[in-house]
Amino acid sequence: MSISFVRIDDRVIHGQLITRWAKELPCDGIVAIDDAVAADPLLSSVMKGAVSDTKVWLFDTATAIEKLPKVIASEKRYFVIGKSPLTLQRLEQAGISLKNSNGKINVGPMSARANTTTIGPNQSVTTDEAAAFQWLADQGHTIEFRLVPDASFYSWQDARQKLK
Amino acid sequence: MIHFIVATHGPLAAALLESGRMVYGDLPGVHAVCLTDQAGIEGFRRDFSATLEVASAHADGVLVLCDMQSGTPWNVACEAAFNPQTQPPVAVVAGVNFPMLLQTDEVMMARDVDHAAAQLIELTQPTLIQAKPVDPAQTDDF
Repeated sequence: MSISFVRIDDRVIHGQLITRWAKELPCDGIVAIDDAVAADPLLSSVMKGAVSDTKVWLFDTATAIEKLPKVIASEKRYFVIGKSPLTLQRLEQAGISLKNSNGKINVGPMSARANTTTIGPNQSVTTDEAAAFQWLADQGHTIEFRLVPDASFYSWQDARQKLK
Repeated sequence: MIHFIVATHGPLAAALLESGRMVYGDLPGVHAVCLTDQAGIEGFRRDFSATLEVASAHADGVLVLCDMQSGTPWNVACEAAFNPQTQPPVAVVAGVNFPMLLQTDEVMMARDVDHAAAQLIELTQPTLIQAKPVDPAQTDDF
């Protein structure tokens, strides 16, 4: 198992925050997955420049489904970051296991947008995203909303109460 | 454990904490003191002293992050830092920026406030950086 950390973050690669996680968990590189970002060369270049000293790959979902088995088979340990829980759901529906040595799916910032419900500090979800979280939870994943390693956190089960 | 005070000219200190909460969530053990036109230097001195008392509780040291060297926040903080009677010990650094504030959580478990100050400056210096485009090529060498 070579995925050491799985995260959902709507900034995809946020330098200061991912650097903070990389100090806590083994990180030989970062695989970031988002269709819109991967399709935009300028945005991709900005995201890849967000961290220095760490190798970054940026894939659309289809490419990630093709490449992740090789990533998972590697001896090295990688962070996998999706912009949305829907992306992670698509990966698992395509047969990619997101089981990782951190033992959970971490959720960082998800900005408030149209039709979102706020479930925590800087964390808001749409009904589609909520359904994707529930689907991931139903696959046996522990889902933990925590911005940085030392911060307070809550689980998807806690968050779900706020959506009722 | 080290506690922190951000001390600045104008509303910068309080605003930095507000921005910090947006990115990191709660920042326990970090306080703000702002020098305002209304309260002036004497008002700042009172606010600083009251905040230092709160920050000192259950702390092995208090690290003051000032906006710049010299200036009132720095001068008032240094009065506390250089007074041998001050307990727990206080250390002062200048040049607080957003990454420095966020990285306080990496040095807060220190016991020695001078060591925490040196470590925090070391963590912050690389955050002053010019953006450079990166090579877009991706290889499969996972």
